[in-house]
Amino acid sequence: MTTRTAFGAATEVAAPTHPAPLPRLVRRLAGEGISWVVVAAGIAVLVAWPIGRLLYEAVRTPGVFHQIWADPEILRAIRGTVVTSLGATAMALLVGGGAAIAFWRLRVAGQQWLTAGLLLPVLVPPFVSALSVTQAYTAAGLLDHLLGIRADWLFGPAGTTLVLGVQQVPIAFLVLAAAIRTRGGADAERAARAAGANPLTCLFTITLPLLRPALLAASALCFIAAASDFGVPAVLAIPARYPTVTTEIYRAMSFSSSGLASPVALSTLLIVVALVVFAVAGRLTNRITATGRHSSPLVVRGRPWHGVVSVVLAGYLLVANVIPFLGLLSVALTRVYGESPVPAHWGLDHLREAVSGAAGGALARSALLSLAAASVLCVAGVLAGSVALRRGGRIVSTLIAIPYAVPGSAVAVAILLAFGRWFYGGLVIIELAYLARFWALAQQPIGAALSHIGPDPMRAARACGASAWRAWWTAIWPSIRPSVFAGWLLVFLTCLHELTVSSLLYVPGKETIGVVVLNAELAGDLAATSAIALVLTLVVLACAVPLFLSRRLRGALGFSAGGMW
Amino acid sequence: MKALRVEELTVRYGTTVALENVTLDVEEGEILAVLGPSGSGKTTLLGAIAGFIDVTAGRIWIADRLVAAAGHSMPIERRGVGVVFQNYGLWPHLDALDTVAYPLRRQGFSRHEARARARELLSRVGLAGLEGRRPALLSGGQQQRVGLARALACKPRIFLFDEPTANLDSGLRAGLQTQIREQQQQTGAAAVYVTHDPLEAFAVADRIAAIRDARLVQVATPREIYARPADEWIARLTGPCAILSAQVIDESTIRIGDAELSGVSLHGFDRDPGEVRLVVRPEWIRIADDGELPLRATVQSVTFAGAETVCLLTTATGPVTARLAGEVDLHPGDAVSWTIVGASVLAASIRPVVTSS
Repeated sequence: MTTRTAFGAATEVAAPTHPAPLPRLVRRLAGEGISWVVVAAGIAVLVAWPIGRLLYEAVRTPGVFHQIWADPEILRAIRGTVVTSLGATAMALLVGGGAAIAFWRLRVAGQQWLTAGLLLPVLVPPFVSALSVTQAYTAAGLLDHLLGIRADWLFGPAGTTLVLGVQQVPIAFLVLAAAIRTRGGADAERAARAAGANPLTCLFTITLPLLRPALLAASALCFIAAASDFGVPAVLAIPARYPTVTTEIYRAMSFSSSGLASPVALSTLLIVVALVVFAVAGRLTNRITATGRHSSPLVVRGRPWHGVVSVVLAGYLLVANVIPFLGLLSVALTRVYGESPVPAHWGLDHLREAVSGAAGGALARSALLSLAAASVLCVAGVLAGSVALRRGGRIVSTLIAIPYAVPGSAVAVAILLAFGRWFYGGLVIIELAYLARFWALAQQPIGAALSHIGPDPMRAARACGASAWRAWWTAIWPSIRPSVFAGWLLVFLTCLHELTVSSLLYVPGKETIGVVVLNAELAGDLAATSAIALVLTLVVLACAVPLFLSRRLRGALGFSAGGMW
Repeated sequence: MKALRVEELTVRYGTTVALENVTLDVEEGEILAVLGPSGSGKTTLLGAIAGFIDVTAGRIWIADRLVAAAGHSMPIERRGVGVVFQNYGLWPHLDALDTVAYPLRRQGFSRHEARARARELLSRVGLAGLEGRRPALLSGGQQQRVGLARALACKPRIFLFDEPTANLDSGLRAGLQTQIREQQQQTGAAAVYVTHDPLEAFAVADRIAAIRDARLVQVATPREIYARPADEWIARLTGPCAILSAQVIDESTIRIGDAELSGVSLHGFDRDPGEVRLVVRPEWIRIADDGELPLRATVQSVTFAGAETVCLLTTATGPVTARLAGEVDLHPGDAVSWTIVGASVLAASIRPVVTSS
C-alpha cells in the first residue's frame, strides 16, 4: 500500500498488520496481564507459602507457646530484646530526631557533612559496627593501647543498646526530616509567635504536637529494627551470656537438638509483634505525609551558639563512627593481635588472607548471591510497582512489605520450613530468603517513581502512535531509571553485608561473608575478623559512592530529606 | 502617632539585596498595599516588620516603639502584629476553635473565656458551625477565614497580610478582600497588605506602595497611581495601557503624528509644551467608523469579555488596546478611526523619544 506522508514523499508503508490470531487469553497474558501473573506467583512462593507454613507449624504443634512462658531462658531473651530495643529507640530519637529538628531550626555549620555522617550506619553492617566498637573501646582495643582506657562493660546490655542506638539513628533522622518537610511549615511557627507565643511555648504547643505522629512512627520503626537485629547482640551480648530473641533463635537452631519448636514459636512472636507495630506506624506515617505540600524553609538567623550543635554532633560522630573505624583499622593492620598499633607492627598480612582462602570464597559467594538478588528483584520491583498502581494493587505492596518488615530471623525460619526439604544445604535457599526479604527494598523506590510519573506520559506516548512496549521504553523507563538503579544498589549492598538470614541457613563450606566474620569472631580470631570486616566495609562503601555523588539517586531513595543534601 | 514607620530600611542576605533604603509610613486605621511582582522584595518588607527577618540597616517603629534596627530585633510575639499568611499558616493539629483561641490563651484568658471569644470571632468571619474542624477538613477560603479570625484575636497594632487571597479561586477572592477590609475597618488598626494583583490593591487599599527590584518606586492612592503612574513600569504594573509618543500643545490638546487631538484630559501636564510620552489606558480610547475620528487604525483582534469588548488595534504608533462598553460590531481587519480622550504624561519622559509599544 502506498501512502503519501506529511512530507509529501511517497513511501511504502506496510498495511496495518493484525496480530496472528492467538487465543484471546494468551494475548492478554502476554500483554499487561503477564505482570499480574508473575507478581502473584512471586508473592505466593516467596511470601504466602513460607509465612503461612510458619504460622501453620506454630498452630499445629501443641504447647509451642506454652513452652515460651515455661522456659526462663526464653523469657530472659524476650526481656533482653525489649530492654535493649527500648534503650536504642530512645537514643536514636534523641540523636537523630534532635539533629533533624536542629538542622531545620538552626543554622548549623557543616550540616551536609554531619548529615552524611549520621546516615553512614545505613551502609555499615550492624555486626561490623559492633565489632569496630569492641576493637576501639574494649580490652586490647585502640584506646586501651593508646590511653589505657578500656570499657569492657560494652559487652552486655549497655553496649548492645548503645550500638543498636547508633544503627537506628538514620531511621529516626529520616522519618523526622521527612515529617518536617511536609508538616513543619515555617508559617505555622511564625503564626504562633505572632499570636503571642514565646519560643518555648511555641515549641511545646506547636512544633512538638505537629511532629508527634512522626515521633511515634519513628519510635515504632526504630524499635522493630533494633529488636530484629542479630549482628549487634551476636557480637556484644552473646559473649556476656545476655540473651535476646534473635540470638536465642540462632542458638536454638545452631547448637540445640531440641528441633525447631522454640525458633518457630519465637519467630511467630516476632512476626506478630512486628506486624502490629507496623500497622500502627503505617497509619501514623500516612498522616505525616497526608498534607502533601512541602513547607517553605524557616528563615533562620545565625547565632553564635548554633556552633555548639555542630560541635556536639561532631563529637558524637567521632565517638560513634570514627574511633570505632580506626579501631577496626588498627587491629586489621597490626601483624600480631594484641601488639600495640604502632607503624612498626603494621602489615597487610591479615588483609591478604581476607581476600584469599576461605574468606575470599565467601566474599565471592556473597557477591554472587547479591548480584542475583539485586538483578532479579529490580525486574520484580518494576513489575510489582506497576501492578501496585492498578485498582486493588495496594495489597501487593503490603504483602511484599511483610517479609521486609518482620525480623530476618523469622523469615529465615519460615523459608527453612517451606523450602528446606528441597534446597537445604546450598546457596539456593539463601537466595530464596534474600528474594523474599528484600523484594520490598527494590519495589519501594521503583514504585514511588512509577506512581510519581502517573499514567499520562504513557497515555500520551500511546496517543502519539507508540506500541505499548515502545511507549513504556520511551516514556516511563527514562524517568524511573535512577530509581531502578538505586533499588538495585540498595538490594546489592544489603545482601552483601547480610548476616541474620544466612547465619541461620548456611551449611559449613558454603558460608556467606557475614557468617565468616561472625564465626571468626565467635572463635576469637579477632585479627582475621577485623580484616574481613574492613574489606567488607570498604567494598560496601565503594559501591555506595554513586549514592553520595548523585543527587538523583539520593532523591530516589528519599535521602535528600529536608533538602539537606 | 504613626501606626508604622519604616525608615531607610535595607535587608541583605549575603550579597543579595532584598530591600534597599525603603522609607514609608502607615497612618492609624489605614491599609497600605505593597504592590510588586514576585521577587521584588514585598514579602521581605512584611517579614522585616513582623520580625521573621533581621534588618541589615534602617529602623522600624510600630506604634512609636522601635521594633527593629541593625543588631536589634524585638521578639515577634511582643511586636503586636496580626499576620495572615499566603499558605494560611494554620496548625494541622488544632481545630478552628483552638486555633483562634490560641492567641487569646497567650493573652492570659482562661481556656473557657478564650474559647467563648474565639467562637464569637469565628461567627464574625462567617464560620459559625465549623469550630470543630481541623484545616484538612476546611476549604481554602474557610481556612483563610480561620487565619483572619486568628489575626483578629491577636488584637494587633498592625495587621500584616501576605498575599492572603493568592491561593484562592477568583470567585472567592473578591469576597475575602471585602471581608478583610470590613474587619480591619471595624478594629481601626492599620494594615500592610502585600499583593501582586493591582485590582486587589485598588479594592482594599487606602494607599499603594509600588516596589521594584528592592526599591520603593511610588506611594500614592489607588486612583492616583492608576491615573498618574510615575513611570512606564508602574503604568504597566497597575493595569493594561499603551505608551505613545506625542507632542503636547496645551493642557487639553496633543499632537500624534500629523493629527491634532483636542479635548483630551491630560493628567500630569505641568510643564512646557513639547515632546512627551503618554500612558493611555484602554478605556480612554474612543473608536468610530473610518474617517470620523482623527487617527486611523486596523482592528487586529476582538475579544468579548462580558460587560465590555476588548479591541486590539494596529496603529501607526504601535499596538493600542481599547476597551469598549457592551458588544461592538467589529471584526479583525476592519479599518477604523480612533482618538484619545484621556492620557497621563509620564514625568520622566522629556528625553529623546522612541516610539514604543
